[in-house]
Amino acid sequence: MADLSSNDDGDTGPHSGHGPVAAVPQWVKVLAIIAVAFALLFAVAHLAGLGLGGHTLLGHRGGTPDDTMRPQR
Amino acid sequence: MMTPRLRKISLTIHVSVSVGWLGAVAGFLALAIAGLTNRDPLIVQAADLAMALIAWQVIVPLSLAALLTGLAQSLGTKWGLFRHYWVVIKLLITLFATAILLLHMQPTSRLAEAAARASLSGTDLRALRLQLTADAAAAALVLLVAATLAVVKPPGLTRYGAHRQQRARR
Repeated sequence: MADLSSNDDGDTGPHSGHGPVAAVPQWVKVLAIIAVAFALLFAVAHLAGLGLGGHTLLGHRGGTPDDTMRPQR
Repeated sequence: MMTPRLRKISLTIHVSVSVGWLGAVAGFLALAIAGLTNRDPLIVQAADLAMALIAWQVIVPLSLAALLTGLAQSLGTKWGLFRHYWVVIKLLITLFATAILLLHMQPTSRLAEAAARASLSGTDLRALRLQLTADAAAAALVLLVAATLAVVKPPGLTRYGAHRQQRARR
């Protein structure tokens, strides 16, 4: 949300060099494309087996909890 | 609007919790990689338990604090919440990261529960470990983008921001 560096008192305040822009800036478009690609990758990775799998251990392991756990030594 | 003193206090808290969030995710990522790649059950168990501890007691509180202090910082200053593209995008990133984080708390907790009950190696629950590692890496990357936006503040007013600025000039 707001900035990570002092700004309102500095040289890069909200109204310095940030004049009205009719079109969407180029960097926003590039970031949007990257975000969509990232979201698709995230969704595909989860659906393809790295999946959230219902967010349970069984969903990830495809078996019962005893299948791979060894007893505590 | 905040007074200058209050704005500086709020900004200091926001910067601290936001950078702390990124740092805690980096720590979580290191533990996730250790749990994924190590064959020593003791190290894997320690990593699994520490991941849940860091996630619940550091990452979740810091993410919520970053969201709240960011909202306060935006709404309490001239930056506003919907006037500049970088602020809107940073808000979306924070909301997305917080939502994904909360969604992944259950598998993190279950992994810790499994580790507490049994001795696991890195090859056990491999899909879950891979997922948590990939998610932590993605989260670190996304938070780095948010931090970069906050420092660089790329120009660009939203339609709402431009409209408000024009109204203010009249």
